[in-house]
Parts: sequence; C-alpha cells; structure tokens
Amino acid sequence: MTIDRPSSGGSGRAPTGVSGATGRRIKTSAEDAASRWPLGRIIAAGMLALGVVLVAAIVVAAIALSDLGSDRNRVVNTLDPAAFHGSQLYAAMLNQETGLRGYLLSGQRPFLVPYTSGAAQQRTQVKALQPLLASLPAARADLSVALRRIDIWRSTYALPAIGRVAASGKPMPGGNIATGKLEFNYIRGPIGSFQAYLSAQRKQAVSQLRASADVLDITAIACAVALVLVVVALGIALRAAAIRPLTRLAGDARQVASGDFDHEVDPSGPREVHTLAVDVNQMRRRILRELSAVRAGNTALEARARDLERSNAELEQFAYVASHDLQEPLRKVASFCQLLQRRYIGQLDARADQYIEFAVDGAKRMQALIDDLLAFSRVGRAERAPTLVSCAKALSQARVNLTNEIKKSGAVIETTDLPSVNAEFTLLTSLFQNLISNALKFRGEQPPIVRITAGRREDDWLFSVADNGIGIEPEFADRIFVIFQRLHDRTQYAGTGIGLSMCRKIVEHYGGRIWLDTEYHEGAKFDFTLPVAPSDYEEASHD
Amino acid sequence: MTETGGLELVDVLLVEDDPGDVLMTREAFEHYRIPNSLYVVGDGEQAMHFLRKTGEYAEMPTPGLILLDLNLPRRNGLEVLAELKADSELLAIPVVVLTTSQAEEDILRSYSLHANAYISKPVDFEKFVDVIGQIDDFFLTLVKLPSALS
Repeated sequence: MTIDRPSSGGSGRAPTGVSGATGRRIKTSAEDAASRWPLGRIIAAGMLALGVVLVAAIVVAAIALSDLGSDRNRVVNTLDPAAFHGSQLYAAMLNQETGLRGYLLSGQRPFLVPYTSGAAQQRTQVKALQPLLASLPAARADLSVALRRIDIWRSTYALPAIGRVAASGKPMPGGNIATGKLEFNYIRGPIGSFQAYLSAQRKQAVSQLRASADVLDITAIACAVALVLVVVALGIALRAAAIRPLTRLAGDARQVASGDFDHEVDPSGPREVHTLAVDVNQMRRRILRELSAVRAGNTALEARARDLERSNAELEQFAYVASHDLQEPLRKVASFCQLLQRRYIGQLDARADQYIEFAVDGAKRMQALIDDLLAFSRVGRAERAPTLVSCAKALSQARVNLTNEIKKSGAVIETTDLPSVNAEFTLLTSLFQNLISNALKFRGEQPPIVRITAGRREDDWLFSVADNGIGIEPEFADRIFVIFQRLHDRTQYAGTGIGLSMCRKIVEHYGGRIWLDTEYHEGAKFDFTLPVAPSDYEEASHD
Repeated sequence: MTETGGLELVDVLLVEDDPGDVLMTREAFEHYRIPNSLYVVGDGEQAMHFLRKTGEYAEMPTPGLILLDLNLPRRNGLEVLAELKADSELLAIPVVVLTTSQAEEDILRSYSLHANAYISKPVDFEKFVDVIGQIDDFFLTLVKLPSALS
C-alpha cells in the first residue's frame, strides 16, 4: 500500500514544476501575437456568419417564391381556364340539347341553329381543354367519358331524330324527346365530376399558395431578425475586440506622450492592436533609453560647464593674484632701486648708476605688463550689463583721454555719423582709444589724420579706422592681434603691445570681428564689426 | 601727542605688514619732514588691540589718522575697517586705505565700509613719496580732524 505524500520529493521536483508552469504562463510576444485573432479575421468571421444567414434566407425565399409562382401559374393558367372551358363545354352541350329539342318539337329548321353552333362550340372547347388537362389525368378521364357519352347521344339519338324529322317534315312526338333527355343526362355526370375535381384542385392549389406566401413572410421576418442579431453581435464583438482595446491603447499612448515614460502599455486586444501596443512599448523603452542617455550627456555637459566656470574663476583669481601679489615685490624692487639712486647717486661709479637705472626700468616695464594683462583679463567679466551706447560719445571720451597725445602730434580726427551699439561704455571707449592711440603712435612724417567711419552691413555695423601713418605689412595682419606681440623696437615705440589684442577681445566679446585691411596702402586701416542693436532692427523694419 | 607751535599734532597709525613699505613710509615722512608721530602695527589683530588699547598697547595714544593696507595677515584690512567703523569709539577716526590693489571690488568695498579715501600705492618711489606728502597736506595740515578738538 502506498501512502499518498504530495510533498514527498517536492524539494527535488518543485523547481522543475515551477519553471514548467511559468514557462507555460509566459508566452513570448510572437506566440502571443500569433494566437490572437487579427481584427480582419474578426470582421471576416462576422461577415461570413452574416453571409451564411443571408444565403440561407435567399435559398428559402427563392424556393418559396418558386412554389408560389408555380402554384399561381397552375391556378391562373391551368385550373381556372380548364374550369372555364369545362363550363363552356357544358353550355355548348345544353345549347345543342335545347336546339335539338326545339327542332324536334317544331319541325322547323331555324330551331336547329343552337344545335349546330353548340356542336361547333363543343369542338372549340374540347380543343382548348386538351392541352390544359395534360397535368390533370383525372379530369382528362372524366372528359373522355363525357365525350364518349356525347358521341353516343349524338349517334344514337340526335342524328337519327334529326334525320327522321327532316325526312317526314313533321315534329316528333314528346315520348321520344323524353328518351333523348334521359340519354343527355348521362353526359352531365362526368362533366359534373370534372368540374368538381377541378374545383378541388383549385382549392388545394390556393391553400398551397397561401402556405408558400406564409413561408416567404416567415423567411423575411427571420431574415430581418437574423440580420439585426448578426449586426448587434458584430457590433458587440467589434467593441470588445477593437474599440475597447484601441481606446485603452490610446489612453496609454496619451499618458506616455504626456511624459510618463515609465507607464507600461497594456498589449491586450486583437492582433493589430497588440502589435501596435508592443511597438508603442518598444518606442517608449527606446525613448526612455535615449532620454537617459541625453540626461547623462546633459549631466556630463553640466559638469563640464561647472569645470569651465571653476577654471574661469581660477583664471580670474590668477589674474587678480598676478596683479596684486606680483605687484607688491615688484614695487619693492623698483622703489628701493629708486631710493638707492636718490640717496647714493654720484657716490657709486657711473656703471652702478646704469645698473640701477636698468633695474628700475625693468621693474616698471613689468609693472606695465601686469597692469595691461589685468585689464585684458577683465574684458568680458560683465561687471555691468551692456546698454545702448553712443559710439560718438565713446569716441569723444577717447579723444579726451588722448588730449595730450593729440595735441602733441597735431593730429586731425575726422568722423562721420556713428551709430549706437549695445556695449559697455568704458570698453567701447577703450576700443576707440587704443585704435586712435595706435594711429598716433605709428605716424609718418605728416601730422596724423585719422578717419573713423561706420556703415550698415546686413546685421552688423562696419566701422573703419584709417590713418596716414607708417602702415603694417600684410604678413603681420594676424600677428598684431596677439597679446604682447610687437613689430617694433621698444626704444622706437613705447608700449607693451596689448592695444590691438585688447581691441580684438572687446570686439569679439560683443560678437564682432576685427581685421587689418591689407588693401589699404596710405597707412593702416582697421575694420571691425559690431552687431546692430535689436532696437535699431525694429526701426529698420518699420522703414 | 606732540606739541608744536600751539597746534596739537595728531598721531598716525600705519597698519602695514611689509617692512619695505614701512621703511618707505618712514622715508617719505622724513623727506617731507612730517612732524607727526608714526606708529606701526603688522596685522589686523594688532591694529584692533592698538586702537582699543588692550594688552601691550595699553599706554598707546588714540591715533588721529589711520593708514590701512588691505593685504594683511590674520585679519585683512577690510575686516579691520568693518570692525572699527562698527565701533562708536573708533568710527570717527579717518581711514585712508593705502594699498597696491587696483581691483574695482576692493575700491568699492572699502568705500562702502566708510573708508575716507582709497589710494593705490604708486609703483614709482618718487610718486609714492608725493602721495605721502599729499596725505600730509590734506589730512594732517589742511583739514580739521575730530581728534584735534579735544
């Protein structure tokens, strides 16, 4: 006897069982899609059901219709004409009998007319009846019996009696006539049975007609009911199989579209909806992946931006330190050299005096370099927001700052109308001051003439500062803008060589460009652009 | 306080950590034969002790003018400035910030902390001496200082 132990060996078997169960439960999406009815098939099944119902209805209706037709045909084309001709035949027989009797009783020829016309009518009616009775054997039998009896009546009674009256020229006695009437009564029997038969047949045909009509009615009603049922069923099926899953899918998709990318789209419904849902899910996952990649990229960019900011801050700190902390010891060197000079000049030899002079000069020059470097590093630190600044005002400030130099050199500064640009007043002043100072410094034999012009060129103002000085060889067109680059001996022309690089930094800080016009040969000509201020745009567009 | 020709001469406190600058200031005082006494402290903390006459500075006079360097050890010049301008006993003493810094922010912060003047130390020694001479002309000769009213 074995004891039922459901848990025995469970530890060994359970995992397989579990994995088998989950394996059955979880279908791959491909299997899932294959096992689903596509929407097309659902509609086709509905249509097929509808078709079957309709075909069945059409067949039933056709049969009923054809029955109806054949029954009606039988009544109209066979039974009714047969009955009519039957009664006409009887009328013809009555005419013959009446005519015959009149003639026999009167012996006068005109009384025989109904007999002869009745005989002719009899033949016509029989001829008309023959084809109608092809499908009515009983009626045919009745008719042939009737015709046989008519022949007997005619040959045994009518014709001999007519012959006798015609021969004698006298009417016949009444007794003979009664015999004739008796003979004639034999004919009535089969004709009556014929008519009774036809009447029964007609009754039957009419009832069949009614039955067929009923079948047709029922079929039509059944067909209508089936149609309504199928349409309703199809509607319900479509609603359940397509509209509801589609609505749900649309809702899910909308939720995903509104930014909830973690929202899983429910892939239930017919195959098309399922496929679409799976695609939407894939798209969602992909967007999620790319989004996280973009986010990671953004984080990296932000980190880089922070690094840059920090390094910029460090650079500024460096510039500050350079200006402040390096200046201190320099000042010491220069000052004490000067103190030495003052106190002990003449007490040492001439060479010592020269040493001291060089030391003082070097310290001073380094001081100037540091100051310029600091000024250069400060451009673009945006301590003040740029405002709409009049270039004419900045230029006149620059001329004030250069009053001594202008007076000393006898320079003439010519200018056309200058626009206003978005900039910082001090930087714009510094730009003009550096360019003019450059023109004055590198002047030729004649007193310097500096021409400053400006004109609109698309989205920029194009400025030109041209002089009649010694000019710059085109090969140095780029090098002159590099910080502390000099083209001349320090003893010839003073300065650290920061002026033009300062100009470039200011112009580029405001989104412009500066270059040496190498086509200009009467001196040096610097061109630079500055963007047109947005307010000027509006004016231009209103014009 | 030193007495000369009936005029009470105010004492000058120089807050400066650089012995070179101290020497140059002394040379300049000498050059212009400025009679006022020049006291020197080397950092911001000592400056506050001097002004509040605490510790070793108990016997020191209250200065009539302070020449303040900004770049000081321990407590920098701006901190000293803020502290003494917040002290009702000391806020009346004129402070001339005398420093190498030409940084705009230093200038702005000094004035917003109620410095009476901000002067950049010139690199050139001759000019430095001139500056000291002008400080003497203005603060020690021309203007009337609150400490001279006692």
